[in-house]
Amino acid sequence: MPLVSGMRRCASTVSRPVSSYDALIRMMIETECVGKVFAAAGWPRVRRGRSIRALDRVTLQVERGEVFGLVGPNGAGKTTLLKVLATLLAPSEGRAWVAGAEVGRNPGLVRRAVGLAAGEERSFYWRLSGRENLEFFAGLVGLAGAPARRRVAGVLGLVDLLPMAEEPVARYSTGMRQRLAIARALVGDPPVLLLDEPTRSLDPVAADSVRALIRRLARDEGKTVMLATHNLDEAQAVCHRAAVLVRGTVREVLSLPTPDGGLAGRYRELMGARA
Amino acid sequence: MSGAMWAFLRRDYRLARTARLALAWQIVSVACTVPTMYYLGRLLRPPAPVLGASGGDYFAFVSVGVACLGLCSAGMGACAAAVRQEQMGGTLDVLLLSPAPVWALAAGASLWTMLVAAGQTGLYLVFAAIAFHLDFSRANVAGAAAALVLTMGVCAALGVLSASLVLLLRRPDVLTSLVTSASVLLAGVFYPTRVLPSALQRAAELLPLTHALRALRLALLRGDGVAALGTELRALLLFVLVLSPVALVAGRVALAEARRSGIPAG
Repeated sequence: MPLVSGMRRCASTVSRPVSSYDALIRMMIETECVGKVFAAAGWPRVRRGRSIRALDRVTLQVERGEVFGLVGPNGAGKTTLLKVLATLLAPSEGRAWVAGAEVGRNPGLVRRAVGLAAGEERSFYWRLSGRENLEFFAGLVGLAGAPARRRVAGVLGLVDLLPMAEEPVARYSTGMRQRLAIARALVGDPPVLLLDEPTRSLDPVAADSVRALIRRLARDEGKTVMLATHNLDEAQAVCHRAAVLVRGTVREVLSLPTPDGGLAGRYRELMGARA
Repeated sequence: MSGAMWAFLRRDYRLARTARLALAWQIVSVACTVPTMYYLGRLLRPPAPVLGASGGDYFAFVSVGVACLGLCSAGMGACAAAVRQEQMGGTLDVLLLSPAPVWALAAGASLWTMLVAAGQTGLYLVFAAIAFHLDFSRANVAGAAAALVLTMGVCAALGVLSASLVLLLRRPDVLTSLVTSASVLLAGVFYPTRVLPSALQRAAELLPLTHALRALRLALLRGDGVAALGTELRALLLFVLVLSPVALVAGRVALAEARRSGIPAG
């Protein structure tokens, strides 16, 4: 049943998340009226152009082990929301919690709980091998020596990159770099994964294997996944629920899978409503 | 040393292994610079009286100057260069996402550059001593160490300031270039500050490298101890005390602004 996450409900009806232990372990991601405005210019504050509102009173709750989709057109605010949850961007308004830690107040705790695979495929050291890259990032999350090597081999195996582990990342295809980004998000074994278009550049077979991996991580390891995607079929196939984001606002949260064409039809209706 | 710093060190060593030619070139540049300075020094024999106070001839004077300048430039620019490189490479986001504290990230990202610069400086002075008889027999180790520690403290503070500007402006490091250029001109790297016009001599006193060079030359070439270096060490300490809090505040502001405006994406 669709849940309307009404932006106008923020001020009056959305209560502060419950902080009991049960709630903390059940609700892995919560946002309360989160807004994000990008100022006209960064620093120094010289006026150039106009401010952009990327998120507008976004209120969501995602349970442990849930795969939650963010669908919407380009510029809808999907990546911005993921970056806010990963502490890379500070929200302009509202509050957000990941694994019980507030994004603004306990960014260190949030970073321990989150693995982000962003769509930025440059984000590796291209002269180093895939294994060396992951060993570096493992070091940043406190893993070293044999445990780090074991963990790196494990996550490389999960994304089917073990045969290419010793090759420099410069020789990887776009799809391989995307899978390496997922492996990097997993290297610290965080309970929450934020995936930004993880199958964007993959061929259908590789995309299917990533989708299967996401399902497996949620089902078998209890990972909570927030998945930003343009691909409605992917959202249908992988997500338990999905929020339709349009111009920074959550228009609707749908339980998935919907009957044939349900998500696509509703999505088109909402896009039509936008026009 | 934190795990994050080891991770950076290992990463940068591995990256350096893939660019061995660059490392070899740094050694060659030392091998070329030392004789250049030595033969330039032979032109200036006997040494001008104005060099006398520093405790050596022109070769000794300029060797300490160039070695110290190299170390200070690396100290000031390492962190900013690392930030810029990560910005350009698209990896800054990922680093800031790690749970490692920001100080460990900043120190770790600068560590390899600092070690290479320290190695290069050591090689420079050892080569000058062995091949060209640069005389360190009177060197006062405690005085030199005190001057070096304070100088590195000033450089670290300036480095954090430079890195903050790079983070905010997404431009190459301007502050290090500015301070280095001003130091080359005024601080007494290639000639004593006393040959400058009086207005420039006064301006030179505002540069940390002026005091660092004076202290290091007096300690290494004349054998002055900590007590005799009091004036210069106090000046360096003042720079540390003034610049460190400014750098910390600048770092915090830059990070907060970056997280507000999404600058780290590069």
